[in-house]
Amino acid sequence: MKQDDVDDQSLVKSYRRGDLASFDRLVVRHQDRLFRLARAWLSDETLASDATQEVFMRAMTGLRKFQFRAQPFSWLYQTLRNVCHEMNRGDSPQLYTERADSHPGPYESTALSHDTARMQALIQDLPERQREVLLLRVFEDLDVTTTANAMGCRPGTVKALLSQARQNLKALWS
Amino acid sequence: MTIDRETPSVDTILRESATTWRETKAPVGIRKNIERANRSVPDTQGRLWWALSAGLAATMLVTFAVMTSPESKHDRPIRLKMVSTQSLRAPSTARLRSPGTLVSPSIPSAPARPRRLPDDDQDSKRPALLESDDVA
Repeated sequence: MKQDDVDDQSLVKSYRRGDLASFDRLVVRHQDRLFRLARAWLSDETLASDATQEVFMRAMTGLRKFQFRAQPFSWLYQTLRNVCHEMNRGDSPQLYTERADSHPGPYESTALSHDTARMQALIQDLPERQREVLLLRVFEDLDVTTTANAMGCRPGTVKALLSQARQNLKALWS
Repeated sequence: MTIDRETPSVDTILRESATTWRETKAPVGIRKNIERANRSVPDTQGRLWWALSAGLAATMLVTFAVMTSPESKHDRPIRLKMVSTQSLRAPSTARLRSPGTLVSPSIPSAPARPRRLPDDDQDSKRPALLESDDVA
């Protein structure tokens, strides 16, 4: 998660003191990850770009009042979820799946092998929480604690969901 | 045999998919737009604080200037003019002690002070005052 010496909380503290460059560093650090997740949920590159931008726009004011009860990335991730919900004009995360079914998904611009394309389709068929864990824990390579904080659950839940997701994928694959 | 062959392949494909996934980067325009917006976002709390402070200071300055300015005494004739009309209607309870000084009706005035006009003149002027009141 860290790409340089300063952690997210220190950057947010600096930003609250008026250091705008700290916010720029937060953007650089998290924009790719948020964009990829938005792209997976919205299945549209332009919408994903807008959603990522909107998250950081909200962060400009939201992080000024940040209480440090959670990690800044968790705040950004939850905000991204809310933005994607709003852009899908619905409250159910299942909408992501519905839209994703009609589009190639987050890999549309890359040349996919047959197995990878099939795996992508299987991931879309997973239950929402299992898919979310898979994206954060496996695809984004976040640790268990960060994934749990982002999803608002306990680390044990993350492990259980990931295990279920793998079992489901293996069952679907065979 | 089938399960043994397929189980590792799922994990392998997941790893490959994750590698491909992480190669995706956000468009450059996002960062530029955010940076531009970040520089233009007003610090509302700071500006509100400064605006309130400036407003309070200005109010205090104006109040101080009004209270200490000699021009503030010019307000009195307006008040006296209004009250002096009442004093004309009720000359026994309120009267002008001197120009610019009013003796309030609630404060008992010194009754022993003699009027400036002689009794004859006072009797002759009272109907005129009443007439002016009627006209008004």
